Amino acid sequence: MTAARSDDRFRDLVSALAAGELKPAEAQRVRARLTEDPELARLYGEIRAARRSLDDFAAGTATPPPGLEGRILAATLPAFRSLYVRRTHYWPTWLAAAAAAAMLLFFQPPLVRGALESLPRASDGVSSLRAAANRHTDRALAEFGVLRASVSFALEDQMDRLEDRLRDLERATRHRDALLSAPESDADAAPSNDPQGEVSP
Amino acid sequence: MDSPVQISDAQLVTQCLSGHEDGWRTFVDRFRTPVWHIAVRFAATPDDADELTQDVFMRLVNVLPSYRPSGALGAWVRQVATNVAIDAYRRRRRTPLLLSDEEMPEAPVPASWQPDAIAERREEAARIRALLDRLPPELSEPLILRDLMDCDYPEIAERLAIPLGTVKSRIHRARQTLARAGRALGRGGPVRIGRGEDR
Repeated sequence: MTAARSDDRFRDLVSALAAGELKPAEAQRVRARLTEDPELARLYGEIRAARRSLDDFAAGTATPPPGLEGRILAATLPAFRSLYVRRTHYWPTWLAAAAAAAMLLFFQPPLVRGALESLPRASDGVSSLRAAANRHTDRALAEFGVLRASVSFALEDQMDRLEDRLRDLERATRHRDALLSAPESDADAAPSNDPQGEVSP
Repeated sequence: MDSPVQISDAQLVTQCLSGHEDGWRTFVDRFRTPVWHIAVRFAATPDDADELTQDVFMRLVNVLPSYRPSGALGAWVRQVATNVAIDAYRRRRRTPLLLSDEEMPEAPVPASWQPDAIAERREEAARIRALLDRLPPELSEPLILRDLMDCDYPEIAERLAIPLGTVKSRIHRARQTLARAGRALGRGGPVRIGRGEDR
Protein backbone atom coordinates (compact mmCIF):
# COMPACT_ATOMS: atom_id res chain seq x y z
CA MET A 1 0.00 0.00 0.00
CA THR A 2 2.76 2.41 0.99
CA ALA A 3 4.81 1.35 -2.01
CA ALA A 4 1.82 1.94 -4.28
CA ARG A 5 1.34 5.42 -2.87
CA SER A 6 5.03 6.07 -3.35
CA ASP A 7 4.78 5.00 -6.98
CA ASP A 8 1.81 7.30 -7.49
CA ARG A 9 3.75 10.12 -5.91
CA PHE A 10 6.68 9.51 -8.23
CA ARG A 11 4.46 9.33 -11.29
CA ASP A 12 3.09 12.74 -10.35
CA LEU A 13 6.63 14.02 -9.94
CA VAL A 14 7.53 12.62 -13.37
CA SER A 15 4.55 14.46 -14.81
CA ALA A 16 5.65 17.68 -13.13
CA LEU A 17 9.22 17.15 -14.34
CA ALA A 18 8.08 16.67 -17.93
CA ALA A 19 6.06 19.86 -17.67
CA GLY A 20 9.01 21.77 -16.24
CA GLU A 21 7.22 22.48 -12.99
CA LEU A 22 9.85 21.22 -10.52
CA LYS A 23 12.49 23.21 -8.74
CA PRO A 24 16.06 22.30 -9.72
CA ALA A 25 16.87 20.26 -6.62
CA GLU A 26 13.71 18.18 -6.86
CA ALA A 27 14.10 17.79 -10.60
CA GLN A 28 17.59 16.39 -10.05
CA ARG A 29 16.27 13.91 -7.50
CA VAL A 30 13.55 12.68 -9.88
CA ARG A 31 16.00 12.39 -12.77
CA ALA A 32 18.19 10.23 -10.60
CA ARG A 33 15.24 7.97 -9.92
CA LEU A 34 14.47 7.73 -13.63
CA THR A 35 17.89 6.24 -14.30
CA GLU A 36 17.02 3.44 -11.89
CA ASP A 37 13.43 2.78 -13.02
CA PRO A 38 12.91 2.01 -16.72
CA GLU A 39 9.11 2.07 -16.36
CA LEU A 40 9.18 5.62 -14.93
CA ALA A 41 11.70 6.63 -17.59
CA ARG A 42 9.35 5.36 -20.26
CA LEU A 43 6.45 7.24 -18.71
CA TYR A 44 8.59 10.37 -18.66
CA GLY A 45 9.31 10.01 -22.39
CA GLU A 46 5.64 9.47 -23.17
CA ILE A 47 4.55 12.50 -21.18
CA ARG A 48 7.16 14.61 -22.94
CA ALA A 49 5.86 13.38 -26.28
CA ALA A 50 2.29 14.17 -25.28
CA ARG A 51 3.37 17.63 -24.16
CA ARG A 52 4.98 18.22 -27.55
CA SER A 53 1.73 17.20 -29.18
CA LEU A 54 -0.15 19.67 -27.02
CA ASP A 55 2.37 22.36 -27.88
CA ASP A 56 1.97 21.61 -31.58
CA PHE A 57 -1.77 21.71 -31.18
CA ALA A 58 -1.53 25.10 -29.48
CA ALA A 59 0.84 26.40 -32.13
CA GLY A 60 -1.49 25.24 -34.90
CA THR A 61 -4.31 27.31 -33.52
CA ALA A 62 -2.39 30.55 -33.09
CA THR A 63 -4.06 32.39 -35.93
CA PRO A 64 -7.83 32.88 -36.01
CA PRO A 65 -9.53 31.91 -39.26
CA PRO A 66 -10.09 34.68 -41.81
CA GLY A 67 -13.36 36.55 -41.53
CA LEU A 68 -13.81 35.76 -37.86
CA GLU A 69 -14.10 39.42 -36.87
CA GLY A 70 -16.89 39.99 -39.41
CA ARG A 71 -18.78 36.97 -38.16
CA ILE A 72 -18.44 38.12 -34.55
CA LEU A 73 -19.71 41.60 -35.42
CA ALA A 74 -22.60 40.21 -37.45
CA ALA A 75 -23.61 38.07 -34.48
CA THR A 76 -23.18 40.70 -31.78
CA LEU A 77 -23.98 44.11 -33.27
CA PRO A 78 -27.78 43.70 -33.12
CA ALA A 79 -27.55 42.87 -29.42
CA PHE A 80 -25.05 45.67 -28.88
CA ARG A 81 -27.38 48.18 -30.53
CA SER A 82 -30.43 47.05 -28.62
CA LEU A 83 -28.55 47.25 -25.32
CA TYR A 84 -26.42 50.36 -25.63
CA VAL A 85 -27.37 52.49 -28.64
CA ARG A 86 -30.02 55.01 -27.65
CA ARG A 87 -32.99 55.45 -29.97
CA THR A 88 -32.14 59.14 -30.39
CA HIS A 89 -29.43 58.02 -32.71
CA TYR A 90 -32.12 56.98 -35.14
CA TRP A 91 -34.66 59.13 -36.99
CA PRO A 92 -37.37 60.32 -34.63
CA THR A 93 -40.76 58.80 -35.27
CA TRP A 94 -42.33 62.08 -36.31
CA LEU A 95 -39.56 62.65 -38.86
CA ALA A 96 -40.08 59.23 -40.36
CA ALA A 97 -43.83 59.85 -40.51
CA ALA A 98 -43.30 63.23 -42.19
CA ALA A 99 -40.97 61.65 -44.73
CA ALA A 100 -43.54 58.95 -45.46
CA ALA A 101 -46.27 61.56 -45.90
CA ALA A 102 -44.07 63.61 -48.20
CA MET A 103 -43.39 60.57 -50.32
CA LEU A 104 -47.09 59.82 -50.49
CA LEU A 105 -47.97 63.34 -51.54
CA PHE A 106 -45.15 63.42 -54.06
CA PHE A 107 -46.18 60.28 -55.88
CA GLN A 108 -49.96 60.65 -55.33
CA PRO A 109 -51.32 57.37 -56.56
CA PRO A 110 -54.76 57.81 -58.22
CA LEU A 111 -56.73 56.61 -55.24
CA VAL A 112 -54.89 58.88 -52.85
CA ARG A 113 -55.12 61.76 -55.31
CA GLY A 114 -58.90 61.35 -55.55
CA ALA A 115 -59.24 61.22 -51.80
CA LEU A 116 -57.14 64.32 -51.44
CA GLU A 117 -59.22 66.20 -54.00
CA SER A 118 -62.40 65.33 -52.18
CA LEU A 119 -61.06 66.99 -49.05
CA PRO A 120 -61.39 70.80 -48.48
CA ARG A 121 -58.36 72.63 -49.74
CA ALA A 122 -55.84 73.55 -47.13
CA SER A 123 -55.91 77.27 -48.06
CA ASP A 124 -59.65 77.34 -47.52
CA GLY A 125 -59.21 75.84 -44.13
CA VAL A 126 -56.56 78.38 -43.19
CA SER A 127 -58.77 81.29 -44.29
CA SER A 128 -61.74 80.08 -42.30
CA LEU A 129 -59.54 79.59 -39.27
CA ARG A 130 -58.14 83.09 -39.60
CA ALA A 131 -61.64 84.58 -39.92
CA ALA A 132 -62.82 82.73 -36.84
CA ALA A 133 -59.79 83.96 -34.93
CA ASN A 134 -60.49 87.51 -36.01
CA ARG A 135 -64.10 87.23 -34.90
CA HIS A 136 -63.07 86.00 -31.50
CA THR A 137 -60.49 88.74 -31.17
CA ASP A 138 -62.97 91.46 -32.09
CA ARG A 139 -65.51 90.16 -29.64
CA ALA A 140 -62.92 90.03 -26.89
CA LEU A 141 -61.79 93.56 -27.61
CA ALA A 142 -65.36 94.81 -27.59
CA GLU A 143 -66.11 93.15 -24.30
CA PHE A 144 -62.93 94.58 -22.86
CA GLY A 145 -63.93 98.04 -24.04
CA VAL A 146 -67.35 97.79 -22.41
CA LEU A 147 -65.77 96.66 -19.19
CA ARG A 148 -63.21 99.46 -19.27
CA ALA A 149 -65.93 102.04 -19.93
CA SER A 150 -68.08 100.69 -17.09
CA VAL A 151 -65.21 100.93 -14.66
CA SER A 152 -64.42 104.42 -15.85
CA PHE A 153 -68.00 105.61 -15.45
CA ALA A 154 -68.23 104.12 -11.97
CA LEU A 155 -65.04 105.84 -10.90
CA GLU A 156 -66.15 109.22 -12.25
CA ASP A 157 -69.49 108.94 -10.47
CA GLN A 158 -67.76 108.10 -7.23
CA MET A 159 -65.45 111.11 -7.66
CA ASP A 160 -68.43 113.44 -8.18
CA ARG A 161 -70.04 112.19 -5.01
CA LEU A 162 -66.84 112.68 -3.06
CA GLU A 163 -66.49 116.24 -4.38
CA ASP A 164 -70.13 117.04 -3.38
CA ARG A 165 -69.48 115.67 0.07
CA LEU A 166 -66.35 117.76 0.40
CA ARG A 167 -68.23 120.93 -0.55
CA ASP A 168 -70.94 120.21 2.04
CA LEU A 169 -68.29 119.76 4.71
CA GLU A 170 -66.71 123.08 3.83
CA ARG A 171 -70.09 124.90 4.06
CA ALA A 172 -70.83 123.30 7.39
CA THR A 173 -67.45 124.35 8.73
CA ARG A 174 -67.95 127.98 7.67
CA HIS A 175 -71.44 128.05 9.19
CA ARG A 176 -70.16 126.71 12.49
CA ASP A 177 -67.34 129.27 12.58
CA ALA A 178 -69.86 132.06 11.90
CA LEU A 179 -72.11 130.95 14.73
CA LEU A 180 -69.21 130.76 17.15
CA SER A 181 -67.92 134.25 16.30
CA ALA A 182 -71.36 136.13 16.26
CA PRO A 183 -72.83 137.90 19.47
CA GLU A 184 -75.44 135.90 21.31
CA SER A 185 -78.18 138.63 20.93
CA ASP A 186 -77.71 139.02 17.22
CA ALA A 187 -77.87 135.41 16.85
CA ASP A 188 -81.15 135.17 18.76
CA ALA A 189 -82.74 138.24 17.08
CA ALA A 190 -81.92 137.66 13.48
CA PRO A 191 -81.09 134.15 12.36
CA SER A 192 -78.90 134.05 9.30
CA ASN A 193 -80.52 133.30 5.99
CA ASP A 194 -77.32 132.75 4.31
CA PRO A 195 -78.00 129.71 2.25
CA GLN A 196 -74.40 128.88 2.70
CA GLY A 197 -75.00 128.57 6.41
CA GLU A 198 -77.30 125.63 6.10
CA VAL A 199 -75.93 122.38 7.33
CA SER A 200 -76.52 119.69 4.98
CA PRO A 201 -77.79 116.56 6.47
CA MET B 1 -10.37 49.81 -36.79
CA ASP B 2 -7.26 51.81 -37.44
CA SER B 3 -6.48 53.98 -34.50
CA PRO B 4 -3.19 55.84 -34.14
CA VAL B 5 -3.57 56.02 -30.37
CA GLN B 6 -4.69 52.94 -28.49
CA ILE B 7 -7.33 53.94 -26.02
CA SER B 8 -7.25 52.57 -22.50
CA ASP B 9 -9.37 49.68 -21.28
CA ALA B 10 -11.62 51.97 -19.27
CA GLN B 11 -12.08 54.36 -22.20
CA LEU B 12 -12.90 51.46 -24.48
CA VAL B 13 -15.54 50.08 -22.15
CA THR B 14 -16.98 53.56 -21.62
CA GLN B 15 -17.24 54.01 -25.37
CA CYS B 16 -19.04 50.71 -25.70
CA LEU B 17 -21.45 51.42 -22.86
CA SER B 18 -22.18 54.82 -24.43
CA GLY B 19 -23.39 53.04 -27.55
CA HIS B 20 -20.48 53.82 -29.88
CA GLU B 21 -20.29 51.02 -32.41
CA ASP B 22 -16.71 51.92 -33.24
CA GLY B 23 -15.86 51.17 -29.63
CA TRP B 24 -17.39 47.72 -29.91
CA ARG B 25 -15.56 47.10 -33.19
CA THR B 26 -12.31 48.03 -31.47
CA PHE B 27 -13.21 45.73 -28.58
CA VAL B 28 -13.78 42.81 -30.95
CA ASP B 29 -10.62 43.57 -32.87
CA ARG B 30 -8.56 43.75 -29.68
CA PHE B 31 -9.79 40.53 -28.10
CA ARG B 32 -10.85 38.22 -30.92
CA THR B 33 -7.49 36.41 -31.03
CA PRO B 34 -7.17 35.57 -27.30
CA VAL B 35 -10.82 34.56 -27.22
CA TRP B 36 -10.30 32.37 -30.27
CA HIS B 37 -7.31 30.71 -28.60
CA ILE B 38 -9.50 29.75 -25.65
CA ALA B 39 -12.42 28.64 -27.81
CA VAL B 40 -10.33 26.46 -30.09
CA ARG B 41 -8.92 24.55 -27.12
CA PHE B 42 -12.32 23.54 -25.86
CA ALA B 43 -14.24 23.14 -29.10
CA ALA B 44 -14.60 19.92 -31.03
CA THR B 45 -13.88 21.39 -34.44
CA PRO B 46 -12.65 24.67 -35.91
CA ASP B 47 -16.22 25.45 -36.95
CA ASP B 48 -17.35 24.90 -33.38
CA ALA B 49 -14.53 27.14 -32.18
CA ASP B 50 -15.73 29.85 -34.55
CA GLU B 51 -19.23 29.57 -33.18
CA LEU B 52 -17.99 29.41 -29.60
CA THR B 53 -15.99 32.60 -30.16
CA GLN B 54 -19.18 34.33 -31.27
CA ASP B 55 -20.96 32.99 -28.20
CA VAL B 56 -18.22 34.42 -25.99
CA PHE B 57 -18.61 37.87 -27.52
CA MET B 58 -22.38 37.64 -27.15
CA ARG B 59 -21.83 36.97 -23.46
CA LEU B 60 -19.36 39.86 -23.31
CA VAL B 61 -21.95 42.21 -24.81
CA ASN B 62 -24.35 41.29 -22.07
CA VAL B 63 -21.96 41.36 -19.12
CA LEU B 64 -19.95 44.40 -20.20
CA PRO B 65 -21.54 46.65 -17.53
CA SER B 66 -20.20 44.30 -14.85
CA TYR B 67 -16.57 45.05 -15.78
CA ARG B 68 -14.78 47.06 -13.09
CA PRO B 69 -11.87 49.24 -14.21
CA SER B 70 -9.82 48.15 -11.19
CA GLY B 71 -8.89 44.97 -13.09
CA ALA B 72 -7.23 44.44 -16.45
CA LEU B 73 -9.79 44.19 -19.24
CA GLY B 74 -7.85 41.45 -21.01
CA ALA B 75 -7.84 39.22 -17.93
CA TRP B 76 -11.54 39.85 -17.43
CA VAL B 77 -12.29 38.97 -21.07
CA ARG B 78 -10.26 35.75 -20.79
CA GLN B 79 -12.08 34.82 -17.61
CA VAL B 80 -15.48 35.30 -19.25
CA ALA B 81 -14.28 33.42 -22.33
CA THR B 82 -12.97 30.51 -20.27
CA ASN B 83 -16.22 30.23 -18.35
CA VAL B 84 -18.27 30.21 -21.54
CA ALA B 85 -15.90 27.71 -23.16
CA ILE B 86 -15.97 25.35 -20.17
CA ASP B 87 -19.78 25.52 -20.06
CA ALA B 88 -19.92 24.67 -23.76
CA TYR B 89 -17.37 21.92 -23.30
CA ARG B 90 -19.41 20.35 -20.52
CA ARG B 91 -22.58 20.51 -22.59
CA ARG B 92 -20.76 18.84 -25.45
CA ARG B 93 -19.33 16.19 -23.19
CA ARG B 94 -22.68 15.28 -21.67
CA THR B 95 -22.95 12.87 -24.55
CA PRO B 96 -21.05 9.96 -23.06
CA LEU B 97 -17.94 9.22 -25.04
CA LEU B 98 -16.27 7.06 -22.48
CA LEU B 99 -16.84 3.40 -22.92
CA SER B 100 -15.08 0.53 -21.32
CA ASP B 101 -11.78 -0.51 -22.85
CA GLU B 102 -13.46 -3.39 -24.61
CA GLU B 103 -16.20 -1.20 -26.03
CA MET B 104 -13.94 1.67 -26.98
CA PRO B 105 -13.78 1.94 -30.74
CA GLU B 106 -10.82 3.24 -32.63
CA ALA B 107 -10.60 6.96 -32.12
CA PRO B 108 -12.00 8.42 -35.31
CA VAL B 109 -10.86 11.78 -36.49
CA PRO B 110 -13.97 13.89 -37.20
CA ALA B 111 -14.67 14.42 -40.87
CA SER B 112 -14.15 18.16 -40.60
CA TRP B 113 -10.79 17.44 -39.04
CA GLN B 114 -9.57 14.99 -41.67
CA PRO B 115 -5.94 15.94 -41.95
CA ASP B 116 -4.29 17.07 -45.06
CA ALA B 117 -1.66 14.51 -45.96
CA ILE B 118 0.88 17.28 -46.28
CA ALA B 119 0.12 19.02 -42.97
CA GLU B 120 1.30 16.53 -40.39
CA ARG B 121 0.99 19.04 -37.62
CA ARG B 122 -2.66 19.47 -38.40
CA GLU B 123 -3.06 15.73 -38.31
CA GLU B 124 -1.45 15.57 -34.93
CA ALA B 125 -3.59 18.46 -33.71
CA ALA B 126 -6.70 16.58 -34.78
CA ARG B 127 -5.49 13.48 -33.01
CA ILE B 128 -4.67 15.32 -29.82
CA ARG B 129 -8.10 16.87 -29.89
CA ALA B 130 -9.67 13.46 -30.32
CA LEU B 131 -7.59 12.21 -27.42
CA LEU B 132 -8.63 15.09 -25.21
CA ASP B 133 -12.24 14.38 -26.03
CA ARG B 134 -11.80 10.89 -24.72
CA LEU B 135 -10.48 11.94 -21.38
CA PRO B 136 -13.10 12.32 -18.66
CA PRO B 137 -14.06 16.01 -18.40
CA GLU B 138 -12.80 16.14 -14.83
CA LEU B 139 -9.35 15.33 -16.23
CA SER B 140 -9.47 17.12 -19.56
CA GLU B 141 -10.71 20.46 -18.20
CA PRO B 142 -7.78 21.08 -15.83
CA LEU B 143 -5.36 19.68 -18.40
CA ILE B 144 -6.59 22.09 -21.09
CA LEU B 145 -6.41 24.99 -18.66
CA ARG B 146 -2.90 24.07 -17.55
CA ASP B 147 -1.11 22.69 -20.59
CA LEU B 148 -2.95 24.50 -23.37
CA MET B 149 -3.81 27.78 -21.69
CA ASP B 150 -0.93 28.13 -19.22
CA CYS B 151 -3.22 28.87 -16.28
CA ASP B 152 -1.52 28.37 -12.93
CA TYR B 153 -2.77 25.83 -10.43
CA PRO B 154 -4.54 28.22 -8.00
CA GLU B 155 -6.34 29.86 -10.91
CA ILE B 156 -7.52 26.48 -12.18
CA ALA B 157 -8.68 25.53 -8.70
CA GLU B 158 -10.68 28.73 -8.45
CA ARG B 159 -12.13 28.45 -11.93
CA LEU B 160 -13.19 24.83 -11.56
CA ALA B 161 -14.11 25.22 -7.90
CA ILE B 162 -12.07 22.25 -6.75
CA PRO B 163 -9.27 22.01 -4.17
CA LEU B 164 -5.73 22.81 -5.24
CA GLY B 165 -4.48 19.31 -4.43
CA THR B 166 -7.23 17.79 -6.54
CA VAL B 167 -6.25 20.03 -9.43
CA LYS B 168 -2.67 18.84 -9.29
CA SER B 169 -3.53 15.16 -9.03
CA ARG B 170 -6.05 15.39 -11.86
CA ILE B 171 -3.59 17.14 -14.13
CA HIS B 172 -0.93 14.51 -13.43
CA ARG B 173 -3.43 11.74 -14.08
CA ALA B 174 -4.52 13.41 -17.30
CA ARG B 175 -0.93 13.71 -18.51
CA GLN B 176 -0.19 10.09 -17.76
CA THR B 177 -3.38 8.95 -19.47
CA LEU B 178 -2.59 11.06 -22.47
CA ALA B 179 0.98 9.78 -22.49
CA ARG B 180 -0.13 6.16 -22.59
CA ALA B 181 -2.49 7.00 -25.38
CA GLY B 182 0.41 8.69 -27.10
CA ARG B 183 2.01 5.30 -27.70
CA ALA B 184 -0.75 4.71 -30.19
CA LEU B 185 -0.66 8.35 -31.21
CA GLY B 186 2.99 8.15 -32.12
CA ARG B 187 2.36 5.17 -34.35
CA GLY B 188 -0.77 6.68 -35.78
CA GLY B 189 -2.67 3.63 -34.69
CA PRO B 190 -5.92 3.22 -32.80
CA VAL B 191 -6.26 5.02 -29.47
CA ARG B 192 -7.93 3.56 -26.44
CA ILE B 193 -8.50 5.53 -23.30
CA GLY B 194 -10.85 4.57 -20.55
CA ARG B 195 -11.66 5.52 -17.02
CA GLY B 196 -9.32 3.99 -14.50
CA GLU B 197 -6.76 2.79 -16.96
CA ASP B 198 -4.33 5.48 -15.93
CA ARG B 199 -3.77 4.06 -12.50
